[in-house]
Amino acid sequence: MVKRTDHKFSTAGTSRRQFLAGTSAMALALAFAGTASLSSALLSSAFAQAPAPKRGGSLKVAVPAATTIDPVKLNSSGGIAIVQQAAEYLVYAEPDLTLRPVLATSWEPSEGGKVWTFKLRQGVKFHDGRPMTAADVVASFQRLVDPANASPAAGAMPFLKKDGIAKVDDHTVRFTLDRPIGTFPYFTQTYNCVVLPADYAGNFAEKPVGTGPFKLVSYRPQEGATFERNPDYWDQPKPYLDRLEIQTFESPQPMVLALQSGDIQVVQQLSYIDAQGIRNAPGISLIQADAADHRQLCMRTDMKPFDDKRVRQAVALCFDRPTMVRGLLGGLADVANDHPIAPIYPEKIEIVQRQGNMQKARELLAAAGYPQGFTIDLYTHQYLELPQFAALAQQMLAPAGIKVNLKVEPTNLYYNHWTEVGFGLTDWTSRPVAAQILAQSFRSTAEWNAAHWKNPEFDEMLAKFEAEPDVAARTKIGNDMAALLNEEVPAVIAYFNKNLRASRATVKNLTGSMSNYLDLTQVWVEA
Amino acid sequence: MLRFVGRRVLLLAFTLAVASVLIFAITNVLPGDVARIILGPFAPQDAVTRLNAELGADRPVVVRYAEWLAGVAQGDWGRSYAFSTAVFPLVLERLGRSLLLAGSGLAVLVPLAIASGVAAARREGGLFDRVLSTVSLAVGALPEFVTGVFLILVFGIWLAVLPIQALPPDGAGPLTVAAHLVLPVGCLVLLLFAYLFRMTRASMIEALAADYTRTATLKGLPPRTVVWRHVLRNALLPTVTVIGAQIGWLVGGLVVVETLFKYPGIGSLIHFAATNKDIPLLVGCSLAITFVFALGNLAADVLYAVLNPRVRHGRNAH
Repeated sequence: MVKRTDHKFSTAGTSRRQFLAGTSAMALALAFAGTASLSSALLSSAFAQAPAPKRGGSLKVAVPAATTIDPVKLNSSGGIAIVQQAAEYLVYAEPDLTLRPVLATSWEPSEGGKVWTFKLRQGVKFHDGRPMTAADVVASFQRLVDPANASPAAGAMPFLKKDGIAKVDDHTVRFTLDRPIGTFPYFTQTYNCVVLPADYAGNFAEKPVGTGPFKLVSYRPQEGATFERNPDYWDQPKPYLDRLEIQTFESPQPMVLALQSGDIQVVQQLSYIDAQGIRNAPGISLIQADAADHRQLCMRTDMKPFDDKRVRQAVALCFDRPTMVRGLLGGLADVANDHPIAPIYPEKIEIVQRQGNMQKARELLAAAGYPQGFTIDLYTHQYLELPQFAALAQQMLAPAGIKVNLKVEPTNLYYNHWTEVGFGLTDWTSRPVAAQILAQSFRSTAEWNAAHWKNPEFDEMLAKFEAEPDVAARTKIGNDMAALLNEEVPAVIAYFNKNLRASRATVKNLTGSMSNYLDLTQVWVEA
Repeated sequence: MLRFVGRRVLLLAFTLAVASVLIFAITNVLPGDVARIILGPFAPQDAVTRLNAELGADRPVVVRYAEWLAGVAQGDWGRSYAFSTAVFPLVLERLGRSLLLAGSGLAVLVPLAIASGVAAARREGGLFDRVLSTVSLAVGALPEFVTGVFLILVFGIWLAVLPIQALPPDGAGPLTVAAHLVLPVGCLVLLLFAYLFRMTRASMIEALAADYTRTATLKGLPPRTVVWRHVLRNALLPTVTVIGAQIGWLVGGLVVVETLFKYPGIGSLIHFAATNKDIPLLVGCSLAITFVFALGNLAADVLYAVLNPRVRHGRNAH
């Protein structure tokens, strides 16, 4: 469908696919003219493509809570959204996962994907007026992977070391990796990886200097941040907004109320449950984005009773996945097949979908020596639909004789021991490449391999998958890996969530994002 | 009177010292790991270990307490782990904001509740008494996230006459600030009205039936003087105590109201600090709230002593 060229990118702008989505939505909306509820959301997104953007105006955006906004340590959703307005990545993954050049204009692998050379954009200025050069990019990435700095990014890019990052000339940077990584450009937009001046001193809240479309004017803990337009932005005439305010909210309900009253115009992310109240509200558009977010119901493969593959398969067979998608998320998810390679990724997986089958589940349990089933503690935490998922699992496993005791814990408590529990339900957010989730959750040596699943054959395939720059070749390996995970079931993966974003209809050109990233460069408001 | 206040101030200092020790001891056993909470579940373990060392969170609690105490003695309340900013200005700003909300709430609530209580008691069982008793009890029984959402829906969205976010824009005039505070104050008043109203009403009824009231009436004093000088003065004693005890909560405990109306005060701050194990911030907030709480009680005691000479004379009578 979407043509992907992983080696070299040169074009940017509105893709054909986006345009088609717009026109077809308009046709649909016209066809349904009169049934206001569905078409109001579609209409606004259809017309978003039509008129020319207008300069000026201001926008207020609601985001979840933020902690520190130091890009090196950054981890909160709110903090990420704030930093993304003031500072930029080398590349940006569009909703369809094509890469848009930002501070880099082109990139090329050599030595089979072990060395990546990035050409940088010329004439980009930091907010303090200094030009952005290769020295700043090198310093920014060295800062992130330096073990002395304790950045979450170091965990996302274990194959990148400080001395592997080098300046070639003023506008060329070379990354030499420990091993070939075929999709490395995607890793450079891990949320911490914004380019900051080489002399950045760790005080972003006091001295926020980036290259972004907006300048950070003030940041207040638990309140939010205010921005003004960066008049020297490299991509003129963008950005269109004069002023921007990002407000952080500790809970979702006040966000939705403020959107309804018009006090704010955009809710950056909200769950299916919180979106219920505004699904049919006039003047409000819901933007839906495919994502790779999913829940892993991990089973410790090194402990009874899940050390037997048949028991894990039986558990997977107990779930009626279409019912879960409808019941937990109102249909706002795609059924998944016990592997994390979501349909959004270019590697299309075509293995047979596992269906609920209680008869077969009972047979497998009996064969494994549990004809009467067993009793087990299921751990999860108070977050999104996880507690409801766990309760549903309790019901769906009961007919097979598996008695589940629910242990729903506060988030901070659960994350202290989530890789140790025998049976745990964990939320995984999207990564821009499938290899990242596969490596972090199922590699034998991975710190977050909560199933403690060790499979040399899988590790070997994964290494090839990570290194391979060609999509077709990756798809082939991906299918083999998915089949292996589906057969071995270290974790039940029942569905892939979709992301939701909401805005007033006056807000134009706002896109969704698989990572809930917030790009307001091209957004404008109708007076 | 001076000695009475002096003793209470000494006691306040002692309370603060004990509170700070307790807070350090309790946070030490809270579940969770500071650096893990900051860096998130997916950060590598060595990054977590390093950040803990950087923050000093890996050292024994006694050492951390000693250092913190030395810092406070020099006017330095430390830096928040999660926000990486200085604790003192943040706590001070939030405390000011919370005091404004609590103060506005009390300024509306107290006269309203006392006046209604007096009016209801003077015609006990009358229409006004019965309607107000029932309605206020029904409304007061609703939690603030129900009344708050109701107020927002009615005045902020349907009628669209009031701002639903209580934080005014920077540089707003007093009128704008007041307009922004109407809904959260309304929410507070609905929440606490029944309590104060019923308290005043009950004590009034009791005082109206007392012997000294009959004596005052029989010696020919006008009803106005009887109520103001004799009845109210006695009837208000329990109400004053109750208000004093509520001040700490009104300042530090309004997490739900603050979150709902997006008015980050010290309640939201301490809630954040506790859930994120941000110990310097937690201790800073706790001390500020303890201080206000103790001050509120002190004020109530002094007012009690003014209203009720027995307390004053009891202390000084030797």
